[in-house]
Amino acid sequence: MQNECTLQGAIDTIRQILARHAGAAGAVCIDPESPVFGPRGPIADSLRILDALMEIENRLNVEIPDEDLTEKLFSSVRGLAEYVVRRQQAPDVDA
Amino acid sequence: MLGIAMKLGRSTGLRKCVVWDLDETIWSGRLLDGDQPIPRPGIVGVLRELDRRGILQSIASTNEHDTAWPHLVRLGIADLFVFPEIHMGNKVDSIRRISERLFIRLPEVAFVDDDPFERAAVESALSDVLVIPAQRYEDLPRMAAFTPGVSTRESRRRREMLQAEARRQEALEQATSLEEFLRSCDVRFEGRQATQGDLERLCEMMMRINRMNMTGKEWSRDGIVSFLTRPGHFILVASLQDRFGDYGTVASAMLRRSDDAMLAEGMWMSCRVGKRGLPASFLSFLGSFCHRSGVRKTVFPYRPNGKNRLLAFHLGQYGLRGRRSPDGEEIRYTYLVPEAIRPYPPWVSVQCPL
Repeated sequence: MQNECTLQGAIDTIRQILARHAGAAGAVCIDPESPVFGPRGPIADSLRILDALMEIENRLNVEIPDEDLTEKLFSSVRGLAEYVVRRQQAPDVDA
Repeated sequence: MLGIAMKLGRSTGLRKCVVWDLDETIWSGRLLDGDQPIPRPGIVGVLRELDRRGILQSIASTNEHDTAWPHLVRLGIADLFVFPEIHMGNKVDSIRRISERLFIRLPEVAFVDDDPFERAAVESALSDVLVIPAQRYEDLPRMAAFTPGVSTRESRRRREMLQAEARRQEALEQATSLEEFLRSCDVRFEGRQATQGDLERLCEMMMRINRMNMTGKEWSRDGIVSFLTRPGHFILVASLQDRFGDYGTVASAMLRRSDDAMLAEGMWMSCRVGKRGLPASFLSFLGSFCHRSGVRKTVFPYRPNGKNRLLAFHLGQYGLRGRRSPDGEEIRYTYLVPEAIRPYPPWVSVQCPL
């Protein structure tokens, strides 16, 4: 479990987790600007994305409230990482 | 019968799937020892009865698949099993994979095996799974864990729907892109208002659906009947088909009109067909219905319960924003109509006879 981490650290961790849940060959093939979810993202299955999200929460020691599971939060890997870092620093921040 | 579960300290809640061992469980004899298997007395009747009740069945067996499968075919029971795991790997992993592929949680799975070692391994690693010794196989149809309160067209055809899903998954693996694949699936969505004829399926959905169940509240049959007949109260349902199969009624919502708003008192969607665009389609249908009914917004009071996060995810992906109540127990999503109504997914053809 990581406590606070840098933006790049969060991006790398999220890419690794998404790659594993997507069955992709490696995190390197996931562009930080690509959507996290949907036909154009690494994972198109909502059950898998929730499993990945749970792992992201555990690994990065952050809790994502259900009301923050917005379309915007999943619009890019970088955006999700930025949210995670903000939330680590101020747990009450909105998506 | 119930003593098994009580003795083992397991919940007697309804089980949606039974995972069977083969040697000395479904049949007498061990294939790896070269035995000719003989079905256990009455086992075929037990398997067919569970299937008739809509309880899915699979296999976790330490055998060679190509040796075991022809025996299941010869006995006329091969079609009763979905996603069988017949190989030399361990059964704990097999049960986990079966549960994931069926979208069924481990507390909804039972495992039947003659070998105390295998049973202990599963009990130790998967404590939520109901583990039953093989010698009790004839008791299964009498156990509360395998006695759903209602039986519907959808429950009787659940296995066929899963087998259609397996064919769909194989076709998806051959496709060059997900969007192209979805467009080739000929997905047909039908939304309508529920009638008395939907009662059994509504009861069943409310009982079975956990992951996309908005409140987790249990509705009695009388409560649903009353809702169906009261002025200003509406129950919407949706069914789905594609070129792989007919999935029947897979979504429902209970709406109560209050001035210029609709309040959703419950919403249920099957996660098994979610990948075809069901959540977005149902929300578009629901929004159109509310708009035509003359209201300005629909409110979804979602109650997180540790099992239903998937619904919050789909509400968020549809663009709806939720606000948590001061006590933290509820998140109210507001759906303004018509402005927040989105087009149906491009691969879905829609029929909504309202």
